Amino acid sequence: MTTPLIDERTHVATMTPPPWATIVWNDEVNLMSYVTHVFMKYFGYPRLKAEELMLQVHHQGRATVSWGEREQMERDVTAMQSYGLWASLERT
Amino acid sequence: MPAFSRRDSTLQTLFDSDELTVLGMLVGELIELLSPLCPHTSDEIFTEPPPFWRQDPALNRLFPDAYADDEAASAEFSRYTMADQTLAKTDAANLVLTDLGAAEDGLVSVPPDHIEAWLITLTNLRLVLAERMGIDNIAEANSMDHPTAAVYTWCGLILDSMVQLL
Repeated sequence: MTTPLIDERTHVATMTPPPWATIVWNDEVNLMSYVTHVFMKYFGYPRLKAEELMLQVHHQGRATVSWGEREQMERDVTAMQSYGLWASLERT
Repeated sequence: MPAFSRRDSTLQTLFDSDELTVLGMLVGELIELLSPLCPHTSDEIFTEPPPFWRQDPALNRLFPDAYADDEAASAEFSRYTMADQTLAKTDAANLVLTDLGAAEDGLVSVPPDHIEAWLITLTNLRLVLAERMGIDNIAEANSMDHPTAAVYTWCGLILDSMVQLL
């Protein structure tokens, strides 16, 4: 059994940029601790990366939290919205 | 200050009777807010969401546009996801009600498989309360001498105390 070296969602293997991205927007309601938890729980990101993304949302107003095909990004946006985060998808 | 603590895999906290009543009432109101959007049959999953939700800022915040600058694509997205999302939010809120209802002498126990439901429901409550109050920033909410603001802040403290234990 072989283990893929590269997550196919990163699209690194094909050298083509992923066409869509999931954006999480800053809002004044969601707690920083909770946003970090959601990024860890749903995307499986390590705490450091999740906190980095959370801080980017907080300070820059938005952060790209995932890349991929449109269908996958719609699933990610749905998940973020189900957690109460303000998310949308857009072309990269 | 209300705070959860961990007992094995369960999260527990002690609420006084006012806290139990208020939280139960708010969660009930959340379910009521969502109920007109709940599909009654599985066929309704793919029907148009009732148009009134667009007029309610709280519902707009619970179901934001998926495409920031494409109204048609956002509408299409809502059409396909909103029924499921409404059901999921309602199910989560009902799990919270179940745990509140099972409280003994104010001791609320949240089993591991209910924790996400609590986090999601407390977040949904805070989003709705913030929209209802027209809160522009959290500092403002904390300084406002208003019962809704107090409840909003209280829900945030409970939520944060749960997240810190995960």
